[in-house]
This record gives sequence, structure tokens and C-alpha cells, in this order.
Amino acid sequence: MNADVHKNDPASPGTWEAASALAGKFMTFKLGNEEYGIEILKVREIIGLMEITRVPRVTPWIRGVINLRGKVVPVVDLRVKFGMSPTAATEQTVIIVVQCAIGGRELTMGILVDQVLEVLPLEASQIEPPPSFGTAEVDAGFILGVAKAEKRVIFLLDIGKVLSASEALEMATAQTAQA
Amino acid sequence: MSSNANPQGRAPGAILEEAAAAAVMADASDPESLQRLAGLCEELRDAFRRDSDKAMRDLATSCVEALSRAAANPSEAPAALEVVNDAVTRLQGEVHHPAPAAPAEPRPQTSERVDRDPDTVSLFGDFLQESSEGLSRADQILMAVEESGASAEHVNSLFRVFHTIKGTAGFLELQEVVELAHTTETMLNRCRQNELKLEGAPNDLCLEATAVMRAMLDAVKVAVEQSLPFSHAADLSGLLARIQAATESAGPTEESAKPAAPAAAPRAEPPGPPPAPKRAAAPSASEKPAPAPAPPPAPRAPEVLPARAPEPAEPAAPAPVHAAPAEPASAPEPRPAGDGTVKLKDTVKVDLERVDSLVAMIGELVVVESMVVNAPEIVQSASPRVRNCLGQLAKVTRDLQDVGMRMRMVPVSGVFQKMARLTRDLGKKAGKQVRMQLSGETTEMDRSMVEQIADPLVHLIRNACDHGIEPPDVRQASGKSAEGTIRLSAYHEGGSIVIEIADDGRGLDREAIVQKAVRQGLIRSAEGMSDADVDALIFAPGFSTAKKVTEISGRGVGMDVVKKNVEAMRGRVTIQSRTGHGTTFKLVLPLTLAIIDGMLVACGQERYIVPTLSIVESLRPDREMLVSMAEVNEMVNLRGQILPLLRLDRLFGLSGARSDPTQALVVVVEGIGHRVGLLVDEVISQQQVVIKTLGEGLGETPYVAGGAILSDGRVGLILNIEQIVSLSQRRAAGRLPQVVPHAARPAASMEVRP
Repeated sequence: MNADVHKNDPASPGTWEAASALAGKFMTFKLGNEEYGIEILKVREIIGLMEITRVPRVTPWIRGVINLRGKVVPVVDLRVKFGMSPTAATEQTVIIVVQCAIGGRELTMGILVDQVLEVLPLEASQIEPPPSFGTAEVDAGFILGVAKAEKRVIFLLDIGKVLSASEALEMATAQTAQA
Repeated sequence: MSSNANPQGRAPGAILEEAAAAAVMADASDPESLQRLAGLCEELRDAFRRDSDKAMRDLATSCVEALSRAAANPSEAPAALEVVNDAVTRLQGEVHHPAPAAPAEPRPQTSERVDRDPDTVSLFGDFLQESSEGLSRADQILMAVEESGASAEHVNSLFRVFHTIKGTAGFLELQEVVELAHTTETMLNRCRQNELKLEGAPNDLCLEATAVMRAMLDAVKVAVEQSLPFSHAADLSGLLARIQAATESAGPTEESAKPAAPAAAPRAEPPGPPPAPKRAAAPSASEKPAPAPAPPPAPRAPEVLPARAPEPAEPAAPAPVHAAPAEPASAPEPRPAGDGTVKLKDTVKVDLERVDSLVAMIGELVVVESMVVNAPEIVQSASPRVRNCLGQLAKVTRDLQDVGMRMRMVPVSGVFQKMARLTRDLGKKAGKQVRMQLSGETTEMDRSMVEQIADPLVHLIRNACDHGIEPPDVRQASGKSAEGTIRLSAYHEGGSIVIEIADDGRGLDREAIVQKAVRQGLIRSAEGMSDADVDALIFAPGFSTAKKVTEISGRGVGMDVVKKNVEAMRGRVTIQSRTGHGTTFKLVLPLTLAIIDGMLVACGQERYIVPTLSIVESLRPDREMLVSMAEVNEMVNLRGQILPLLRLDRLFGLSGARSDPTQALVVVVEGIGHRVGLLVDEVISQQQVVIKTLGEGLGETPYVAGGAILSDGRVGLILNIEQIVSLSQRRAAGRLPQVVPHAARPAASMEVRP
């Protein structure tokens, strides 16, 4: 349902000029074996896995809410969001707290990731436009670009779009929990 | 202005005014103020040259003598001031009372102390604070305008400042303030309509007006604090005339000529055009303020709460308004005078962010405190000293938490009572019988919201009184009771706080709205517009359907202020109107921060908070109390009452909960008038919690009203009992929302495998 709402016009390779705007520092992390990055400016802090209070009947990728120094902050399970199996807690599992403006409002959310890697400076030459996944079902809208560093491939996420998509999906709320 | 006009010098009345003001402002320890006062007294003495004025001359002479004694011997100053104050008050009575030609209304001789009940005093306190803030804002804007020219937003903001001051001052009956505000507002209205440029003279006049108004408000503050009658600012007419001249320099037009009239005319032509033009129309601004503040408190014997004005609703023709000032003199005061002096409560406005961060830090402190207390090293320690200290730490932490919580939350009752009072006064002014019903006054709101809600409420209630409620004869003709009702209620609904203002008046006149909107160029025609669309037009800036501009309302700023303020709180306004049956405005406000009493219940691994208000009782059911229909629809037979039994674990998809109801606990909850048994494992404790929103990223959270930080630092969810109960109702009606068709699931579209 969100495919059309959040879809970027897939830029054709070669004419992609946004790369220079994207260049900068990214916080990289792992979901399974895949590497992702989000702009460092959007990251507020990284906290260890803490007790997450499950919220009934919301979208499946909302893992729950945590108490971040007195503030209630929702936590998104990015793996579920991307259609993978739910995050299993390990010693390396962390919550990245991000802050971004969505629809003019500042939104603070936690994202649950398997492992946090490093802060990686990326130059424009390392970044390529998001790939076309070839199928209309898949939403590449929240991929800003793909970065190559050494032999690694890092998907740079537009975290604002990732999170706002979870907000829009009100219809999904009813059926997360079957009583 | 007075019959005692004095060809050589100023009229004694004018001098007296000034002397009265000086006497009030004079400070026994400030020789300069005493000297000034002495000068005025001498002038006054000389003004009463005629033989018939001998008594007054003597009074003035005694003042001069007392003051000269004080000048020689500072220790006598307080006594001298007493003498002067007393004399001035008596003189005021003498000068105005017998004056045969003066069109002044019979002015009761006020004693030197005016008793005001605590409510009135607090109203004054609020008003003074709000107004001084408004004036500072106005000054800022004016400075900005001087620097870089005026924008429409500047003019609008300025206009609103004066409009709000006018409104509140109006019902506090501070006539001079109203006059000045009204006149300035009229000029600004011309600016708003682009007929006058806010630069040069008009700008200067505005600045002057704010300065004069500030001085007047300071005087009001002194008068209230010392329980003195209101003194009078130096003659306002000059400033008023200049503002008026500036206003008219742009040439009168249909709309603006009218507002100008009542404001500018008060001295010239007594009965102003509007229906309830108040006594401002009467001779001098100077006379009424003194008795003014008294009438409200007197009739309001016990409390304003009962909504029905305690005095018998007198047949509310506009006439009584003129009689009003006579009342207070004889009216018994509700409370013994005591020593008469009151102190206006001092408040400090603190940046909300600071309060927020304080509350957040207290939250952290609580968590850390519990971590310390539960740390194994500490738990093992047997030292009584450590135990003792920890006990104290715990207590201080709790107290601090309590204070922090209370700092932000206030009941709406204060604002509601103001509104009840306002309604009463406005009804009288408009010659209508209006009764206000209050409900839900104890609902607590974030204090910032309570502050911001006052303005919109004033405007809405003013509109209801002025346009909504019909005059008694019209009401009776249409088969309604002569007395109109405005219902003001506050309640929680879903995750929001709702403030509802409902009148049973004539409803919105959609035809007039459309005509006006077309005339103003807001719309071309009403084609294709639903009723709701038409209703929404009243929120457009500058829109007003009032046929005439009255002091009470009718300039169209009102609704635009309402919408702006409510939206600033991230709330919304909805209108429901039925022609002939009334209009209901609903202000739906987000529940940013609120405290509730809650029961912490456990179910499986999870814990939830059930608002104590929704709980009827809780019990462990016996086997024979449980009944079921078709195996799945469980019910509990509670002393003959059959209630649906909802298993929280099934509703929320929890595992590990006790499945045997006889081993678990049924919490009977009530919402929207229905009861349901909620099956949980156990009740853990009762506690007060601060409701927090769950963050905007969650989207809809059905059955959950919010979150709260529990004492162990975890987030607990507060159940939305209304939604849970309505679920059982829908199920009873045959619709099973739990079985949502899978087709509706938007799953596939979000799956991305990079």
C-alpha cells in the first residue's frame, strides 16, 4: 500500500547527482549478513538492548516501547520491517535511537539492529543510486543509495521514510495479535 | 464634565481624579510623591472657591495641612495619607453626587475599602498578568514594525492583544481600560482592512496606548491589593481623540465606521449605538470604575460553580445594566472584610521546556533511587544508618516526584469558573438569560494547555452569548424555555481531552455565513459545499457574521483565535450545529501529560495499568459464576448481572497467562455506560502514574491509552477501557473485530529485500 506513496523516481545510473549531497558520515549496522547505513546526523545515541514493553495490536515491526530516561520511545524491529525474521536478542543487539522530522514533527524512535559496526565516511564517488528491484511490489523508496567500501556493499537508508511508513500503516494495526 | 466647572482653573472633578490617583500611588516613604499630592490638594482647595463649596474646601484644606505636617516630619506621612485618602473619597462622593446637571448615574459613596471576594481577586491577578504579557508582546511587535514595516500578521497579533484585553477588562468592568482598548482596536481594525497604514502616527499612538494602559493596569493592581476603589488615570480623552482622529483620517467605510462610533463617541453622545453599550457612554470615564468591581462579587454569594447565577434571573432587558452600579453599595459582602488587604498571588512563568526537563530528570532520579535501594550490596547491608538514609531518600524522591507531577497538571475548574462568571456577565450585558452548566471541572490538564485554552473559551462563550442564544422572547416564541443554556464540559475521550461548549441557541446561520464569505471573497459560491464545509468558514481570519459590532463580540477575530490556539496545542476544533437547536464546539486536545490513579495488573509476562476510575470492583470468580455461550462467548454472573468476560491475554495475544478464571482475577470495568469483566492474572498494586504518549511513530494503538514509567523503570501501558468495552459491545452486536479479514492486510507491499 505504501509502494506508491513513498516511491522515489528511480534515478537512472550515470545521471545521478544526489550522490554528492549524500556524501558524509554514516552509521553502519548489520541486519543478518547485510549492511546498512543511516546518516550520522539522524542518530541520537546507541543504547544496549533493554527491556521492551510490547504494545498489543500495532504493526508487527513495532517491537514495543522503551523508557529512554523518562520518555517513552517506540522501537522498530527493522528486520521485521524488511520482511526478515524478528530480531533475536544477542549480546550484540542494540537499539539505535534516531531523531528525524516526519511531516514537520520531530520523531524519536529506536531501531533494533543485530550489530552496530562503525561510523563510516563516504565520498560521493562511493555512492550509487538505489537499484531498481524490478518489481512494483518492492519499495525502494527508503533506500537513498548504495555505497561500496572495499568489498562491502552498504544500503543507505532514508530512515525518515522507513519510520514514517510505519506510521502510515494504520490498517495493519488490527491484526497483529489474534486473540 | 462636571457642573462645578471652574472658569479659571481646571474643573475640581478633574483635579480630584488626579489627586485620587496620586493618593493611591503615593508612598509614605517617598517625599516626592507626597509633594506632588500636596500640590494637587492645594489646587483642589483653590478650586473650591465658592461659598457653597465650603465643606469641600475644608476637606481639601485639611489635606494640605496634613501633608505639610508630613513634609516637616516624615513619621507623620502615613497618617497624612490616611487623611488624604479619606478626604478624597468623600470629595469624590460630594463632587459627583449632588451635581445636578451631570448625567452621571447615581454613584454610591464608596467607603475607602472595597471588599472583593477571593475569586474576583484571583481573576484580577490573572487578568493583570495576561495583560501585561500581552502589552509586552504588543511593544515588541510595535518596535519590530517601526524597524521593518508592518505585516498583516503583525497587525493581527496587535489587534488580538487589544481584543483580548478589552474582553477581559470588559467583564471585570474596568471601563477606562475597555475604552482605550476598544479605540485602539478600532484603529488597528482599519489597519487590518488596509485602510490605514501601521506606521508613523498610528504606530506611535499604539505605543502610547500600551504605555498608558500599562499605567492603568498598575493602578488597578495597587487598588486591588489594597482593597481600594479604582482610581482614575489622568484624562484619557486626549489620547482617545487622537487615536480616533488617526482612525478617521483614512475615511470612514461601512464596516469600520461603526466600531469607531461607540469607542470615540462616549463623551460626545451618551447612548452609544450598540444594544449593550455599557455605561461607557455616560459622561466621564472617571466615574464608573470605582463601583464597578463590586457588583460581581456581591451577588455571587457562595461560589460561582452552581452555574445558575444565584440571584433570581431578572427579566433581562438591557435596562438593568444601568441600574447595576447601584447594587453593590447595599449588597452584603460574602465574607467579613477582615483587615481588607489582599495580596495578589504572585506567579512565575517558567519556560515549559525547563519544567519538562525537570520532570524528566525526576523520573530518572526515581529510577536510580530504586536501583540503589535494590542493589545487592545495599540489600545485604544491615547498617541501620544506611537503611535510615535510604528511607529518607525514598521519601524525598517520592515527594519530589509528586511536586514535579503537580507542577504541570491543573484542573480545568479555574478556567471553567471564570467562564461561568463570564457567561453570567455577558448574558446580562446582552439582555439574555443564560445559564451555564459545568461538568468535568476536575479533569486535569497540562497547565500550559489550561492557559492556552482560556482565550478560545472566552471567544466561544462570547459568541454563544452574543449570537447563539436568542433573546428570551424569541426563544419562547420558538417553544424553548426563556433561559438559554451553555454547557461547558471536559472529559477524556480516547487518548484526548475534550472540552465541549454546547449552547441551545439558534445554531449557525449557514445562509449568512455563505453570503458573508462570498462578500469577503473567501468563496465564489456555496455550490458543492457540505454543511460542515460552510461551518468551517467561520474560522477564516477576519470573518464575522455578527450584524453589528458590539463591545462583546462581533469582529470576527474570535474564531480565528480559537482555531489558532487550539491548533497550536496540536488539537482540533469541530463544530456541530443544528439550526434552531444550538451549536456544539468540541475542542479535542491531545493528552500530553496527565496523571491518573491506576491499578497495576499482571497478565502473563506483561503488566498493564487500568485507570482506577474505570474499575467497579475486582474479584476471583467461583466456578458457578462462569457461564459461556457456544463455548467461546464467556460471561460472568455477578450477583445476577451477566457481564461479558474478556480475557486480556487473548485480546492482546499474550502467552503464559492463567487460563483458569477461578485461579485468576476478574476486574469489572465500566466504560461508555457498559460493564465488562476483564480477566487478568492478578492486581499488583495501585499507583499514580503520569500518562505519557507512546510516541508518534506507533500509529494507532487500539486498547492502549498511553504509557507510564513504572517504578522499576519499565514502560507500563495504560489500557483504554472505553475501547475495550466497546469491543465487547460490538462483539455482542455480532461484529467480531478480532477476526479481521486477512485480505485487508497490507503485508506484501512493505517487504523489501535489498
